Amino acid sequence: MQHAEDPTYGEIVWGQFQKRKIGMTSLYALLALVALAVYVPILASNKPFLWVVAGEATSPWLASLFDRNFYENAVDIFFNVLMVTSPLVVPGIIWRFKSTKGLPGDEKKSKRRIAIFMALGLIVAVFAGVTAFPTQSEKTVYPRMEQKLLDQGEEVTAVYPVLPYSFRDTNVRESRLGSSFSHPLGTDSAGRDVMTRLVFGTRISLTIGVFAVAIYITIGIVVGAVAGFYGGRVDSAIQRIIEVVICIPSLFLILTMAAFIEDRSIFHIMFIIAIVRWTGPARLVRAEFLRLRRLDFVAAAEAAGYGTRHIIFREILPNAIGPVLVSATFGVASAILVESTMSFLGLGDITVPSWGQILNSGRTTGVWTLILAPGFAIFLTVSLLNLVGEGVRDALDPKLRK
Amino acid sequence: MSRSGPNGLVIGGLALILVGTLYNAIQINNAEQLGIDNQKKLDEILKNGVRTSGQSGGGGGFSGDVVNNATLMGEGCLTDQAKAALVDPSNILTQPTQCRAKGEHTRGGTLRSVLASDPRGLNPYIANGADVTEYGLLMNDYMAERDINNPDKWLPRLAVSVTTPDDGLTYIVKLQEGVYWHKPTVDWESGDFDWLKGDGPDGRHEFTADDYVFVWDMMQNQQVAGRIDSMRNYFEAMESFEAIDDHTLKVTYNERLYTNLANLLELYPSPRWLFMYDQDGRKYEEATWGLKLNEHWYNQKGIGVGPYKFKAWESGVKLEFEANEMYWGEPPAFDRILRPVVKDQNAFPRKVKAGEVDITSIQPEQYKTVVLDADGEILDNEHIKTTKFATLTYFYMGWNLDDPKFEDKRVRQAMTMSFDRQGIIDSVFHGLGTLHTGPYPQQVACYDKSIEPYPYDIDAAKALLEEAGWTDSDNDGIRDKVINGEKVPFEFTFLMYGSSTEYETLASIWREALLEVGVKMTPSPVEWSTMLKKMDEREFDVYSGAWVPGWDTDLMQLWHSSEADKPQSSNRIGFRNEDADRIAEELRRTFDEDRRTELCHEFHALVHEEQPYTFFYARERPVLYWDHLNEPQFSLNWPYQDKRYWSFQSAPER
Repeated sequence: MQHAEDPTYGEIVWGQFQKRKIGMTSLYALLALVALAVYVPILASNKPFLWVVAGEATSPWLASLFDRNFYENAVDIFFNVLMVTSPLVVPGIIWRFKSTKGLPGDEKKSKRRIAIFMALGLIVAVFAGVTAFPTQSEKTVYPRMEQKLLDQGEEVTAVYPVLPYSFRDTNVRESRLGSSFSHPLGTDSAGRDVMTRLVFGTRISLTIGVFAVAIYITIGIVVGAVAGFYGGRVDSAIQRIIEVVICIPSLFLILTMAAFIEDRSIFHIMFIIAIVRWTGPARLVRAEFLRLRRLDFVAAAEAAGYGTRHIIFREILPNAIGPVLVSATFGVASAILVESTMSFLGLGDITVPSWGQILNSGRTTGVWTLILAPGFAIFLTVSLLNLVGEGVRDALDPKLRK
Repeated sequence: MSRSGPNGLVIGGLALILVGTLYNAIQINNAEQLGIDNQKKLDEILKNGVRTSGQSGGGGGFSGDVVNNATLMGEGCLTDQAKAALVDPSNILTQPTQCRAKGEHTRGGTLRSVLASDPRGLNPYIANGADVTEYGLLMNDYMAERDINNPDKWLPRLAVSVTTPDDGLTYIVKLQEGVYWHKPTVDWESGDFDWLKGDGPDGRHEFTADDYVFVWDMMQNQQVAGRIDSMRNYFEAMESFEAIDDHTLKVTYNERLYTNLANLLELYPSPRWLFMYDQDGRKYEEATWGLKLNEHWYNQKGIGVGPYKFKAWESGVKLEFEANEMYWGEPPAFDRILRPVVKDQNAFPRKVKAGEVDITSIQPEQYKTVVLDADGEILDNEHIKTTKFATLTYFYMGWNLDDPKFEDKRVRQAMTMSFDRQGIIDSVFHGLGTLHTGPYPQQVACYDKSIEPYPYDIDAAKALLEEAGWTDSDNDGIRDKVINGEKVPFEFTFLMYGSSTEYETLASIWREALLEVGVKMTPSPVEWSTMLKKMDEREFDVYSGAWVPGWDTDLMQLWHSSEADKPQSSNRIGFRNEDADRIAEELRRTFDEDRRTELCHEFHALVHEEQPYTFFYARERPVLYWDHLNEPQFSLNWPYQDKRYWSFQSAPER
């Protein structure tokens, strides 16, 4: 039994992390980036918030949020769900965390866990709902429609977001414009606003980073745990497999696989990244398991008659997870870079506005905003993730405790 | 633990991007610097009055004389034998309107022009590929060639006279005498190749009618694969091909077809004395020589009787030709033709700017940044000029007509109408092309210029789809229709070549317009090999394609219904139309030009109405060149960049 004042391991690490200024600043900046990804339709969309024609008021913006004809990609739908549920979820969790502050360890933990589960449950439920019952509507380009109606002498009131553009609607008559007040970063060769595509790209890049890493960390943990726990022949067999995978140059493997997949979507790209990257965490976990396997608490658990699964996942794994967490933060950054590389080489998903995609069109068209803007976005995100990763690593290291 | 592992990777990645950007910037800078340096050198030379022209020496070992053949029109560049033969009124061949290199030019020097990729081989009957044709024309000669200014006329080359005593069933071809093959490019010093020596001067072989009979033998031998395999169906009507004497051929057909003559005249000779022997001089056996020929030791080198000899080919580095000093015809304009391999197309303008090449073609995007956006001089150098040339090639989107969705011609018309072709030509291809409407190149009489292209009209497209029964019955923004008792939403994928940014942009534009019409299109960019496979197996809804027609377009291959059911045929869209079949068959047998034009126009109107292809555009290709080269002339016929017609105005200063 823990005493009420005893901080949990998580709290110690979090306390240590808070003491590291650069890490904290980066974390806040990263959260701001995530917030940008979530709330980007409020910033940029060509669907007006308010649309009044002939006294009839509608909100095409609201209607478009779950429109599968417009937000074709599941990633966008997911982020829109986050946006819609966030007014409920965020204050709820903050309140729950504050109200449980003084409680003893176990009770606090379980109450907080329930709150998080409820929040996740809500998000998943809404997402499942909008996916199962998709709304689809006829495509209307509102700025053009507005012009048409105005030309006919009708009265139209339309309130647009700050950037009244869509990340996908093209306009050949406005292609390759330079920077101006209305297009801060100009337009690309299909006449789409670069700024809008860039902010929407945040969603794609962050998703690819997080999901690809989540997939390969899961694979890595399972494989590494099995290898490290059982040792002997199982271990050497798995080690040989890992060596074979590592031997193949990863970029080469990625490009080869990408070439074979038809109709590539960003989900394929996540899987491709996961398939080449799982060996790293697998080795880390294996090493930790080999060390922890011989410690007394494992022997105690075995003596107490716990099953193998319980021992691996409930006893050893929590102690072995530290280094994996660190490698995960760095992994997100490198997955974003891999996606950019693939898109840059023309092997990405061309229907999504990913940063690599924009960068690639900049290379071939020689429009400087198309190169610098996504380049900077990639640089910023990757740097922030690295700084956070470094903070976590230092916070986990007992020798560096402040 | 693993402190430096992933961290190093990410930082490495970042550093790589940084280094890449810097390197790119530096390279551009370097290229500029080089250009400036070259310019300085040039200015200095001009100021000091030192000219290398007319002298031996200089950078490229330049030895030349200034030639003016502006007045030498017509027979000036023909051999005496050809001149004499042209007097005969029954001769199909005619006087050339110009000698090869036009105007005042300097003979000699090295022409350097970039090569985007290595050819697959240099034997024109084995190696497939459009580029092989171009090298073939440098190294070899046809029997007769289309006039560069008037492609309807045939000029004498290896044939001095072609006559047909029975109007199209038999052709008698008299060949040029005194023509010798190049000496093969082998190690003569070693003595291992003495068996290759002929009886002519310097151990050369004389060109005879048998060198053409050998081509016929290759065609008859089904073991010979490669390029000749796809040529066989053009010669189906040919019955016999024999040498009457050393310089006369007699060719007979079992059917008069319009295409017979052109197919016959555009044949290269191929040396039996080389291709029937292995590297040690042993003759191949009768039963297997066809198979052996496919892997012949000389296929990676080139041989011919033409103005340039094969010199060297280093894969990924360069391809090199040198003047044939014993050429039988008009002496070649350059001493050497060098094709350095540059795989990155983005680097082409830099190569010109740095003075590493004399001429290069460029991409539309580069045309925009280098030429259209240039204020004043192109690439800041007054000696770099630009020109563009029209080609016969047209681009299109081919619909899979076996798919019930695209059965109705109104649907296909609607697809064309929702494709902003003119807008895309202007904004994506920077005006390098014109709207195209039919199955012929725009330069020929067969192309009916009076046919109006379909406009870009979303509303009209919607109306056509309504008419064809495609309505949005479930209000989901995507049209649907009941086909065979099943409700089908109008969705399709667009198969396209993945490595072209222009097409990526085009696909995005089309996709958004189609969505407005109520049709969901998903672009599917794939590798070239995958694309070919999918097209051959008809696994597509619509694909983006290009067609390079010849001057005479034979409709059978692309449009006849008999081709629609063959595997891997060119009629991969499955176009079956009785009227089209009738016209295509009749055209093959019609020789009267007026009647032909009439039929062509009828066909053009039919195909435009049916829209089995969404015809897109015929492109123009821009080039950059240094002005020591005379303004390059381009052929309408393939190969467009016929370097035999180019020449230096003055000695290039290098």
